[in-house]
Amino acid sequence: MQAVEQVKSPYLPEKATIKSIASLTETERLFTLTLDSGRNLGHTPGQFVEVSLFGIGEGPISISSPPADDNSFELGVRAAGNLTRAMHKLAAGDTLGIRGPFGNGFPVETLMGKDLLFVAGGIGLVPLRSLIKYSLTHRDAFGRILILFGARSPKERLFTDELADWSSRTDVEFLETVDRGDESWKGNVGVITTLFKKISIDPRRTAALIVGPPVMYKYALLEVQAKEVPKQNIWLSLERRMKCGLGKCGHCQINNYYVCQEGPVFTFAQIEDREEAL
Amino acid sequence: MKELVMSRDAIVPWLDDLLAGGYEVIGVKKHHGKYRFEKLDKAGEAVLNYDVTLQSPKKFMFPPREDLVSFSGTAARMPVREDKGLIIFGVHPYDIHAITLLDEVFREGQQDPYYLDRRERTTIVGVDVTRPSVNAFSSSMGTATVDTGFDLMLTAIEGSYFVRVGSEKGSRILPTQVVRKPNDAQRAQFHKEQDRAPALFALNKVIPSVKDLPMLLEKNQHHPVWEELEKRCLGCGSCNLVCPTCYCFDVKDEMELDLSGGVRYRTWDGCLLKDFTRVASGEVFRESRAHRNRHRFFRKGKYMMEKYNKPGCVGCGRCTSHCLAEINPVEVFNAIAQKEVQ
Repeated sequence: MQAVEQVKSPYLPEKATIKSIASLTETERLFTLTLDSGRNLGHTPGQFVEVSLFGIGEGPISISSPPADDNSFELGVRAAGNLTRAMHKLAAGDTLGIRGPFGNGFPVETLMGKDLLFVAGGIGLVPLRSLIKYSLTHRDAFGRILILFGARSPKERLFTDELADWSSRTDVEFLETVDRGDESWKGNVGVITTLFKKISIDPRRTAALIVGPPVMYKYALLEVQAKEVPKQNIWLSLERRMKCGLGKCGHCQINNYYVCQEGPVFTFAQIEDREEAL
Repeated sequence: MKELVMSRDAIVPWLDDLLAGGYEVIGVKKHHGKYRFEKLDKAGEAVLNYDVTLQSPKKFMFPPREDLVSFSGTAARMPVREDKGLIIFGVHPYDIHAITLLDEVFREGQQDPYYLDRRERTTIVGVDVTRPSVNAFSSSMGTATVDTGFDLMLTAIEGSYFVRVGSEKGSRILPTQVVRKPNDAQRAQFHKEQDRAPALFALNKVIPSVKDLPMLLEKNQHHPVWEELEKRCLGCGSCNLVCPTCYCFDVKDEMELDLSGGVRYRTWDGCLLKDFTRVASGEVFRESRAHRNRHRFFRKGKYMMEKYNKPGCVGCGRCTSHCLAEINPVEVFNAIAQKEVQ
């Protein structure tokens, strides 16, 4: 009997080094990484990687940066579970494991020439930021850029420098709100849907890009549909439990979709009649 | 396909030769009135006229626990694979259908070298069913007999086994001294046995035809049967554990006691368990047992069928036999067929 040739395992992570870590809020940090092989990650906005720390485990994390020439990429991470809490204990120079990129990101080609309406709820800004930054780098390729951002409270606002930049740019229409303000907060107060009455859009040329916590989708979708954006021009990114990233382990399934393969970005038209989706 | 016959008395000496030849042979053994696939130490232990085994032979190609990566510090590698071959002796047609389906699952898209390696090293000797489990319904799923997916296939005929040779791997382990060409009467008897095999399962029958199941399920996402299952099902996941076509798995890390290194391994998981869809924020995407049952039955009767053009359920009846609430796929499918809701 012959030995079967050893095949490379799709579960072997590549080693990546943390170049820097920035604190975004009390619970979120931004990790800038490069793969030790020198390979460019080669992702598209909206894709994710499986991050691993040996002995702790592995989990899917959205890539927060646009594709970059310098081979670096960024991961915005909330300390929520075992893996992410352990990640928050790491420092620049430490290494971790990366597999991917995985999944379907936002369809950049399809979006070109369209007005982009970004709707980001809380930590939903982390995956959306890859596309926001991409569209700002290729500003001429897109029509209007509108960004609606909602955080629970002022201290939970992410990427505050970038929010200030978007707010001051004349080629970006930026509106934000917080669910609950504090003494220092002078801006809008209310859930993210309250921002919709402050904007007007041309639904024939608008692509809506929505990422937020599960509860936000229901209400944000009602608002963009009230503005008559067609269902096939509404894109969402869905969070699910994922173990393999390869369409096998079953955890991420929404009906027959494997979110790690066909998603995490879907059009509303794709998932509208799948009741476990939203 | 090459067809042969061998005397029933030749089975034990054949197994003896295989064991003596250094093969690891898995056969069906009886324990406390139940049957299970396990390593044979002696040829005489093997049972061929069993009803159903507790677990399917899936466990030898897709073990309940399998190391994926071994690591030491930040260095990692794929664990060294054994290169020993395995003969699984006495696999029923429905289990062969299940293995064929898993072969497609693990070959499609990103190939799974762990499964495919074990599969490559496995020789399957099948045997046709002579007395099915009371809960089996293979004829309804089109899996009462099998034409491919085996290396050798045995069918009991009078005093002999009719042997079909499915592959070169099967041919290599044939007891060449004792096999003969079948005569016309033996061929006729083989075909008669094949023809009557589905009728053995006929008492437990899924009424809609297999090809209609995807559409039937599609139309009945809100059938009252799902809410009934919410009340009956205990959410224990036993059905997942004994299912020959379930392949969902969790991935976990385990450290050595001295923390110098460890392994990342996969382990069977089940969609009937509540934690199956839980994410770090605490959100569970299939909270109710109604939804978890619906997912399981849709996966078996619709999603896998649409993707692989084969039913995801092979009608072995193991899930019913192990279910504390006696939930039976036959009853579920028939309930939907009898009272469709839009």
